[in-house]
Amino acid sequence: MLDRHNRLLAALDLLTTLLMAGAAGVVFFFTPVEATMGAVQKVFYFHVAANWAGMLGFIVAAVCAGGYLRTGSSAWDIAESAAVEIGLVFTAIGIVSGSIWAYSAWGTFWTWDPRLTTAAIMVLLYAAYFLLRQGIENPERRARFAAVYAIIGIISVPATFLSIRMFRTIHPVLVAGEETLGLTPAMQAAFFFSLAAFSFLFASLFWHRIRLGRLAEAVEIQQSQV
Amino acid sequence: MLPDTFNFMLIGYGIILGSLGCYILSLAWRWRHLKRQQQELAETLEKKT
Repeated sequence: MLDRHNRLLAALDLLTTLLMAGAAGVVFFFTPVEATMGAVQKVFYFHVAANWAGMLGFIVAAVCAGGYLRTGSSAWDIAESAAVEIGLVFTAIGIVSGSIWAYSAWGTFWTWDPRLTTAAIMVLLYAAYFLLRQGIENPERRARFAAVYAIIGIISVPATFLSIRMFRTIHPVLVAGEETLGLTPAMQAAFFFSLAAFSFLFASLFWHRIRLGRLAEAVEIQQSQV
Repeated sequence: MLPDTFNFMLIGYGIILGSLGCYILSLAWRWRHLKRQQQELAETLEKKT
């Protein structure tokens, strides 16, 4: 059974590596250079995909949190913290890569624009999730509090996503009705390819992180026996 | 004329792929560290019994 899982994970890793390499190839060699921004516009493909994977992580964490509160199983708690950690990594990557693009396009790394502000709040909220976990020693109490926090924290995801549609902002709106930011068919293909590649990367990292969480739990149990 | 923003693109992708690489390395490092700890604890438990 374990061997079958390992083989599946290795296959997923291989598929993810191929997809990521393919996405990078499509972005660098097949998409045209955008006329007003130049080559830096190509950051957009992985920037949006990273943010998508980050939000996916927080949504998965909320689902796992619901699973924990319903069943009390530590497996849900492990999956929940894994999803938050990966979501945080992807969102941080999204913010930093966005600020590189912003410096080139707006002349500043950071501005208190609604999208940037809500994204920063989201990152701080989920960073605090780990502070909360570290502050509680009892494993059941820790898992229960973290699950409630992950469910409340999910509010920041639609708030961030909708901020550019609800408020006046200088951040580009990717899809507004029929408009799609003036992307050519090659650009749209690269965009959706990147989204798919990052979704697989999320799945692969999530699986690895869950394995790590299970190992950490086993070590914690052993430590209590010594 | 196209603006020359090639270096910004390189920095952007360097940060994205570099950060992902660092995270994957951190997962591998934590896995190895926990495996070693698990082995040491198993040996200690064996000695005790």
